[in-house]
Amino acid sequence: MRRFSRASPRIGHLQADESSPLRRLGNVHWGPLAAALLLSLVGLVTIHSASAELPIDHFPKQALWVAVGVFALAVVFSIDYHRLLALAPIFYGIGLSLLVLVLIFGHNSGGAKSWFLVGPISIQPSEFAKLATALLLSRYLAGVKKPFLTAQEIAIAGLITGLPMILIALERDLGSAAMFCPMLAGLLLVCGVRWRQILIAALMSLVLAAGLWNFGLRQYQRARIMSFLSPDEDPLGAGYQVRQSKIAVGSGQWLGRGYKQGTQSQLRFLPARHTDFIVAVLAEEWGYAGVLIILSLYSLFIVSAAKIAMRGRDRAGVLLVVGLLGVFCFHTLYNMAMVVGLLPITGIPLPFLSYGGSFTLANYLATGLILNVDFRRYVNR
Amino acid sequence: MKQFRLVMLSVLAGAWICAIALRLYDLQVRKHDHYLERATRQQQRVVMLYPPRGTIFDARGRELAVSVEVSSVAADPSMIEDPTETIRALGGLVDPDHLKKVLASDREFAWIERKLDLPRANAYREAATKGIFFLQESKRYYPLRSLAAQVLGYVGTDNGGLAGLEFLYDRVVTSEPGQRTVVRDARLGTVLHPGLKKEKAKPGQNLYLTLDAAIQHLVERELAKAIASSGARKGMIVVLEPNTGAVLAMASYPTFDPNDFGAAPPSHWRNQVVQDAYEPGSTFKMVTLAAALETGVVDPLETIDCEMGGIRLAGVRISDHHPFGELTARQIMAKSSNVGAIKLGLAAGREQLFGTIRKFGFGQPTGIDLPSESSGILRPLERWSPLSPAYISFGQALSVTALQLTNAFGAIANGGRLLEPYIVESIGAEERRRQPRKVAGLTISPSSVRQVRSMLESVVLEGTAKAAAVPGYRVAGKTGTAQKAIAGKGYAANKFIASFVGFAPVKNPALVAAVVLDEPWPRYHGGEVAAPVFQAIASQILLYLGVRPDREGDALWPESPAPQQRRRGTPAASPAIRVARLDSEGVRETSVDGMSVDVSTSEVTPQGTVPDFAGLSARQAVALSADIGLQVGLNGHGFVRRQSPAPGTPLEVVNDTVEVWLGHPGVM
Repeated sequence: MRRFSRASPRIGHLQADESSPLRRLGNVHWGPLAAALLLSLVGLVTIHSASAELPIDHFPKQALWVAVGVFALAVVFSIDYHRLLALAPIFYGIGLSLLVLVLIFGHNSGGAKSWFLVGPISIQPSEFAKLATALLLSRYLAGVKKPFLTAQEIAIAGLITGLPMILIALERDLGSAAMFCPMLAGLLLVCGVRWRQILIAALMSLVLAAGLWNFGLRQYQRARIMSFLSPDEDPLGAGYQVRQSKIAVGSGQWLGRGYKQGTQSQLRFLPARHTDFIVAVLAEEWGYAGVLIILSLYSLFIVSAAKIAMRGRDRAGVLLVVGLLGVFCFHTLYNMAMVVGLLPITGIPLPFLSYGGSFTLANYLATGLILNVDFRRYVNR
Repeated sequence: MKQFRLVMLSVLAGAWICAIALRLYDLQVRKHDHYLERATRQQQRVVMLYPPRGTIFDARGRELAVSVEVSSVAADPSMIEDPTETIRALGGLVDPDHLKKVLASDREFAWIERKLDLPRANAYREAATKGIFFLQESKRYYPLRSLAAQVLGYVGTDNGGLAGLEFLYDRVVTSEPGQRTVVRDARLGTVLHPGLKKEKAKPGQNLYLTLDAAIQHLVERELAKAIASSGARKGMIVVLEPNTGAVLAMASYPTFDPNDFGAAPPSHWRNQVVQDAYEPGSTFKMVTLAAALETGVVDPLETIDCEMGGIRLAGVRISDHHPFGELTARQIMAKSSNVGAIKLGLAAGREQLFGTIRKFGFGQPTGIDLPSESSGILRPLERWSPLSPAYISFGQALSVTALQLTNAFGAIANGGRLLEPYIVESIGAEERRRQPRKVAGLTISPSSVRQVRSMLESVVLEGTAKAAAVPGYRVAGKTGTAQKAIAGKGYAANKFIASFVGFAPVKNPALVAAVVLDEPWPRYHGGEVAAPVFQAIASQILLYLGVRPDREGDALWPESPAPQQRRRGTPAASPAIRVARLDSEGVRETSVDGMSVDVSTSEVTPQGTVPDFAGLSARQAVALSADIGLQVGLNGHGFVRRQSPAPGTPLEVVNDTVEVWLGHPGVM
């Protein structure tokens, strides 16, 4: 509590009723929520434009998901995250079972078998498995109270992450599977791994990558990576998406071509324009100015979440924030880099902007968890 | 917990965000032009719109050349993912190697095959795969096939006129392709975007010809028959309207089908009538006679010694085809004596002969609206040798086109005016506008014209061209049997150009025509092989045009006149009487009152007054005036608005010309 007492002169009069819930709400860093809501707003508007030439307008459905997400955020926020951490193994178990079930009963869509169809809505269990894994992983690593992790502890953490990852990879949803890596890496780095161990991990992943390239990847996946390296060689193959995305982005200039005036998206040249490539639509129609606003909102989210991690005193809470932020950062940054042609195309959507029910819901749940940690930072130890 | 590492990760994320921002700047701002250009290139396509070429109509509105819509098939190689599949799909229709080459191009557009017929187009449509598309093009089609082929010409694959009228009037007939920028989407659907650039296509204008397909057809038929029966190598016929210079028919044999002009050798594409000059031979004696009469040195009633078969000039003996003794000018023409013609020419003198030849339009293009017209060869006077007048007098040592010669005879037929022949009567889609008759010049005085006309009639009546006589009509003309010159070897003994040039009816000529057959054998005289062809075409054309016969039956045609004193303007004079007067008294009478002889003898205006021309077209006015034996002077174009003398004026007081002023309704 040294840190807290140092801050007391500024908010001295609050010390008396520090446990008053209303006062404590005022001390929560609301940056992530503000960013999330603003991004969702921009996302809804852009999805409406991107849906213009689609059979249905995804705007109302997405608006509903955002509402559900905000409600879920409130629910998660109201439950002490320690109770959630305590339930982490159960969540994790449910998550794994769902991943196994989706492999059997799942709906095949776009080459990936990662959806449950429940009436009119489709649910992607991998998004929720990610949250459960983050919870379990931070709970486990919080229990290790040493400056550096042993190889055995790293292996256990790897196992916790690896199980859902392999199941998702079996669904052929490589992008989602890959998102577990930054979570694990971030947590391990912050918990304490030796540089020696990092080097070994890097070598191992190289060997793993080589093996994956030769035996694990399917032809179209290899083609995608090849096309990233030289996108102009097959204009209609995988390189097509990168090319069209770059043309859309490049058409935008400073202020863009105007709302619903982006010809790349309106004439259907741009692929997956309401999901993975939504930022290309935004860049074309709103220009560099529009994208810079989006980038600032993401920066706000990341910086405020990082601040929450910094000022947290509870090891499990901080690790939970770090794990979730790692996934969030990687989603955001990878997606944008992919759209501007800096990284190969994989099915990784952009948080809050891209259309997708489970994805939006999961992002709001994660935001709720992050705020939860900040809200209850004084309560424990 | 490693706070430092957390900070480091945040910094890493920040750096990444900065990298993306920089990359976005690079794409969106720095390379904006490049990407916008790429976007436009793939989203917009300029579509060329080719409206059809103008239609070519004959004088009665029959279609001679039309444009039909046909499909062409093309590929967008950039859209084809798997060329082998496309080649397999279209393999039965097009040479796979050719297709492979087409698909290998890196352009977005490449023709596969153009101007398909309907079944083939349908076959392509069934086989078409992604990246194969169809365009509507217009193709020239000549529904009457080889009819007037050399006159019409033909067009190439890109619809450019390459010969004939198609070539000369290419700019008029050609449509201007329009351009339309269309927006296309990624699935190659075309979205017409109202805001985009549009350049309207201009359809080609129609051509209305003076040529009459029915006349042309019968002329071509008779020409082909004549070629077959005479054994000639080639031949040509041209028919003009003497009062206007309008081309009624123009045929060259051998011919070709302009729908498939490539199938015929290029020599068949020639319009011989305007492009080929030849030594005219005896037909040219008409000009010699005109020169002699115009000079006034020859009395038509006096005889000329034809030297019994040959004449020696400047040490060179020029022989006749037959020995003749004393002949009048009329008999020289009728029997076609070379020596007689030489004497007529020499009597006229070099300057007068040359001047008359020029006045009849030789040595210069007639100015007809057909391409590649030949001027023929007429040496300038300074370069004439002492013998030149002698040779030229019977049609050697110069060359002419059949059109020049026909036009010169037309000048005799119409009273002395050399006209500019033309074939396009009007241009335009809505308003038919007749070109005004263009008088290129006056040839000889009307009195000389009448004498020449009369003597040419004798050629048909009693001379070499009896076979040209058309029952019921008075015909005038001249035969020609010209030995062909072989380069450097003088004249060939058995190669002739047999020809006949003539007009009918003599009084109000409806047609002037030349029939020229190249190398007929064994019969080769113009009177034997060409004159009957004239008879065949003239009798049919006069019937087709509804020209009133001069008389009923041949028997009424008297050889010698019964002199009769008649007052000018007496109606209902019989043609026999008129001919008689011309024959016996013409010379003397015209010297007194040359301008009005023809006027007086009209059968068709019993009232003896000038008819009302108001509202008639130029052609109708010419036809009406011809019916009553008047010349008509056309001023302007359109329809008759005013005339002088006024309708109802007694013909007695009228000169032989009625002037009419034409105009368009509503235009003053």
